[in-house]
Order: sequence, then C-alpha cells, then structure tokens
Amino acid sequence: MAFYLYAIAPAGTKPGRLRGISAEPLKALAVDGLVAIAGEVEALPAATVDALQAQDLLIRALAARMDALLPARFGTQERSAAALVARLEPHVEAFTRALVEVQGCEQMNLRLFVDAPARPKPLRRRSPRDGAGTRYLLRAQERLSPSLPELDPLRAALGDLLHAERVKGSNQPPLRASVSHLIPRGSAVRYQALLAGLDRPEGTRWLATGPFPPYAFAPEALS
Amino acid sequence: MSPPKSRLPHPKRPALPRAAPRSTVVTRAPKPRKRPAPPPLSQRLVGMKPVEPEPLPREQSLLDVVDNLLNKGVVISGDAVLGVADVDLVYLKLSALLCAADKLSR
Amino acid sequence: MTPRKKSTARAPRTKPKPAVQRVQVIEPADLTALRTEISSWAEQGQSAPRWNADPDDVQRSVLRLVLALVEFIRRLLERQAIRRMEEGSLSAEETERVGLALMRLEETVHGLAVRFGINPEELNLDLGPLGRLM
Repeated sequence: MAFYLYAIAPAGTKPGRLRGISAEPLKALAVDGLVAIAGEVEALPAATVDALQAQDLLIRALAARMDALLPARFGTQERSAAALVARLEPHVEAFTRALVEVQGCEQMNLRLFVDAPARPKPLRRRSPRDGAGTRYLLRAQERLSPSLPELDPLRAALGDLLHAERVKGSNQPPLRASVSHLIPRGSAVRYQALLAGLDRPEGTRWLATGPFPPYAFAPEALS
Repeated sequence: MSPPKSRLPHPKRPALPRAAPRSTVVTRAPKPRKRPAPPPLSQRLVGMKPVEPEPLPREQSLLDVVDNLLNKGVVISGDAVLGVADVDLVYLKLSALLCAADKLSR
Repeated sequence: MTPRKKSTARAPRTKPKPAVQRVQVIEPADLTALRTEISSWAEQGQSAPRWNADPDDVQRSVLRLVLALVEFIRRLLERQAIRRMEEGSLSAEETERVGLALMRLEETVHGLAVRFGINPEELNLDLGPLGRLM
C-alpha cells in the first residue's frame, strides 16, 4: 500500500472524477494551506512507457483545470497519507513561491547542441584575488547550472514572454544543455516563431518542444 | 475554445497577497501591458511568418515525457537498497534526513 | 526533418519569395545524445541502486558503500555551498575555505576509489570539466 503523489496545488483544489495511473480515485490531501493530489495504490507503479504517458496525460488534465500546479516526479510516494503530508509540510513555503511563479504559465523544453567541445569558460570571478577554493566552487556552479551566454539573444528576443528559466548541463556531446523556459499559457507558437527568427551561432543547433505543464519549476522536494 | 466547466467553490489560485487584482473570468487573459506598434504588413508577411509547431516525431515526444517525469536533477536521491549475500535487507533513504543547516534555527 | 506545413494565407504571385525559413534541424548525433542522456535518467529513476556485501570481497564492497555515501554527502555539501555563495550568505574567506575543503574531499574520494580498483562510475561520480577518469 502506498500513497502516490501526482501534484501540489492551491488550497481548495478538487481533482473531481479524474483517476490516477493505477485507475485509483484521486484524493486532495491538505498540506498546511496547500493541497497534495494523490492516490492510494496497492503496489508502486512500474516505470513503463505506458505508466509514464498515463501520468503525463493526468498531469495535463489537472493543469487544464487550474491556473497553478506543481507536478511531482514519477514514483513520488510514501507509505501513508500522514507520511506524505509530513514529508511535504516543511516545504510549503517553497511550494507556495513556486505556485505563484508557475501561475498561468507552461513550459517549453529547449535543447542546445554544440559541435565544438566546450571550451573552458571564463569564470564568473568575483575578484582577481579568488583562490583555488573559490574557483573550484565557481567551476562547480557553472557545471551544475551553466549560464549559457549563447542563449542571450533568445532571452532578449523573448523579453516579457520569459518568466523563468532552468538549465541542466549535459555530459553527452553534442548535447550541451537542456533548458526549460516558463512562458504564459498559449504562447508556445510565438515562442517557436521567435526562436525560428533568430540567427544561431555557428556550429550550434537548438530544438524546442512543448508546451508542457511546469515540471521543471516544481521544487526539488517533489522529486 | 470553451472555458472548462467551473464548479463553485472552485478557487484556482493560491490565497496569497497579490500586487494587481485579477479578473475571475476563466479564460486566460494576457497581462495588460503596453505593446509596441505591430510591424508593417510587408514585414509581417515576409519576415515574421506565423510558425506552426512541427508535429513531433513519436520518439521525440516520448523523450520529453521521460525527461519531464523522471529527471530528478542533480543529486537529489540518496536512496539505496542494502543487502548481504544477494538478499536485499534495508532500504536507505538519505533524502529524508537532510535539510539546509542555516534554516534549522527558524 | 520534414518541411513545415505551408501557411494558408494567399500571397499575390508578384510578391518576392519570402526569406528562407529557418527550420529546426538537428543532426542524428544530437538525437542519439539526447536519447542517451534521458535514458540514463530513466535508469536512475527506475530503482534505487543496490549495494550488496560480497562475502568474497568484503573489503571492496564496504569501501564502495562508504565512498558512495561520502560522495553523496559531498555533493550535497557542494550544492548547498554554491547556493549560499549565490545568496551572499558566505563570506569570501568562508567561500575559499569551503571550496578548498570540498576540492580536497573530492580528490580523496577519487584517490581511494582508484587505489582500490573501484570504477568511479560505480560511485556515480562525475568529474565534471575533468571528464571521466576511465
């Protein structure tokens, strides 16, 4: 038996007649002013293609009914409703901030491909006197969350359309990074148009897909 | 596109202090802001053709589903299954034990 | 990639040809890289990694577990240090000290792994800009 989490939503949200990926009825658990949409399942669902697609469809159905939603990753579950609520409660502040951020928005995924191997980038030095330890942290920061200056023209072109960005660097050349952009709902076509109208730097390619519910903008606590 | 059915009470937003008042209409109205004058017709037809998103090959959309749902980002899960002599005995869940130290005093 | 659908707007024939459309083209290598990257996430997401004490090589098994735990904690520390550095709640001196300590910790874990014949991949180690050791 497990309580399987699908998403966090604002207070008062009701999942209605939607069913979970194991065909279980959905419940709205109160979490300190927010709502956790979860289902009680016999066994943990296996991560098959069908299960993943079913969860994606369910999240889309939920996202269509409400302005703000934080999807959980596949397989987020606890032994009981109480355990799930206890796990989520310490993060309510972060969830609330995230809900405000994603309100009325959806996500585009942008992948950046680069032919040439990445040259070591000039570090974001804070002062010329940065020691080895500081440089180590700066390198780690750049590795975990690359700043990707090559996307600046796109960011400028998007302007107000771009509400937030998340970047995941990659070790699989030619894939350089996977970027998620938070844009107002309904602006995916405009996003693609702006992207198509830009000159790409030589030897780089990008591919935008979407729109999706705002998976990448859900706090880490929902992983 | 017809708006989704609304049931009362059906609040859609978190109850938070808000800077600007929002309309309660279900259709998603864009934020009111100054828009620049639209470009002349010739430019609109030639340089700014409306682009329809290309229908995704099936594999591409599956990649996105997997990436969105399974990618936990860097170093989140400290879970491991511990065992001896090929027998799984203990499920170790490190993520539950750790939180940022500078937040402890709050 | 297949060409885009033509727009249904009627354009008079005397109009000059529109500018070449920038189609989103990616290479086969791109798709392969994307697939590899995402399937590695998929594998990690499927089940928790298993550690099993091998009675025939207990020393190596124990060391593998210890190093994997230390590396996990080290990465958490590193991410938290970066967060604090970004927030500005670490002084320059603290940043330098923490950075040095994490750097030495990473070198130590690596050194031990290599010395005992443990593949860093088994610890899920990522050397970042230095690339993979093996």
